[in-house]
Amino acid sequence: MNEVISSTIQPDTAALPDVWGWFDVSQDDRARVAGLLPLAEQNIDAVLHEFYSREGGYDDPGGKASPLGMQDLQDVRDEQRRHLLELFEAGRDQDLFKDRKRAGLFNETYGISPSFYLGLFTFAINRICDLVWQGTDSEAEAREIERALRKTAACHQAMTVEAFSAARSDAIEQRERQMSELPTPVLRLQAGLLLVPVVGVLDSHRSRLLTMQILDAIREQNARAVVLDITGVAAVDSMVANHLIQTMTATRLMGAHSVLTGISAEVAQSLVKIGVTGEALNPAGNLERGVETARKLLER
Amino acid sequence: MARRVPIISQGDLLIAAVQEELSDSDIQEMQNQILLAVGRLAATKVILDVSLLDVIDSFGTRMLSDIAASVALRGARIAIVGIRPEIAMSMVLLGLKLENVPTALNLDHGISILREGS
Repeated sequence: MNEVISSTIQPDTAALPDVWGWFDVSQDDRARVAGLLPLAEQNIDAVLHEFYSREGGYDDPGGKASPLGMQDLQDVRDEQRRHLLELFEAGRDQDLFKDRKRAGLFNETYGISPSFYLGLFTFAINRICDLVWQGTDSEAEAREIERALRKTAACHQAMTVEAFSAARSDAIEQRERQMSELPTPVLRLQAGLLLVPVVGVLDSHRSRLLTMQILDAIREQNARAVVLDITGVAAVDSMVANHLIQTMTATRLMGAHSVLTGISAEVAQSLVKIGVTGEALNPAGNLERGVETARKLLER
Repeated sequence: MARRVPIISQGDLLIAAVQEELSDSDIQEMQNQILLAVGRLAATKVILDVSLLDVIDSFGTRMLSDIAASVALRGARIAIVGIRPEIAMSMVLLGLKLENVPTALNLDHGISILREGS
């Protein structure tokens, strides 16, 4: 699932110089940051330990709803350590987007809020800067390094947060998709007569499923007529209308009649606007009349 | 090896029941045989039973409508019976609706449709 999500986040790799440009990160800046890697590796654990042992530092990285267990906590710590170290490996352009994406995805999956992530990052950067000032003789040089580090860090954070929000909106989309996949029952009203009440959103995936369900039921139950009720379908656009027509055509090919009921005033108007006329859909005013019509078709 | 489709005649009714997957040339041969039999036996009703077919390609679906149209030109009425769900679905996706051809779920139903109309 994560692979699916990450594959949908497709940053334009050519845009990387742009991103560096927005944050005014020059090649020199990046070389300076890369030079800090040994220092960072030496001190990262101490810095993180300090962060986590502060009051309120790490009890609840994801807000009150965080469902993390002990093992997860450890994973999160390891991963955050990795995120921080990646900041200093600024030479690897091709991995940068991937790493930021992974970091964003990780945060989304583990429910780590961006504020916590940014807090941790800022805390660590401040500490590293302190170390830079302590370890560098020339004040001007130390200032240059600090500026370079802060610019690079801001750039990293921005990309991670961007990946985070992309992952989050994908997750929301996924959830909406699951909502739309409510099962649709195919009910038998009497011998040879089926009723299908459709509720929710009809997308192409679901309507394909629905069609197969109806066709299989026709075959199994020897049905001669199907009443398709779309009272519960909120919106009918040209695609949904097309799916409905396909379903009804397939039903006819199998030798059964189909009747469409429950077309609301709005749906009727939008159907007419997109050029769908009544004949293709064989409509009936309401479910009661639809069932009557279907019974008459059965007797023929 | 060409596969023959048995064509059974009963009164003025012809029944062609496809038994197994047919190649393109087999389908054309079947069309030929049906059209000849309609003339020879002076049949007015034809049933094409495809219930044993579980796969059908775009050529096959097109041939179904061709057969139906040509039988109509020979002065007989045709009903196609036993189209399976998967085949119905793929026909719809290919845009083949068999608009003017009666279809039926099974042989009984198909025969009663043809009898009603006469």
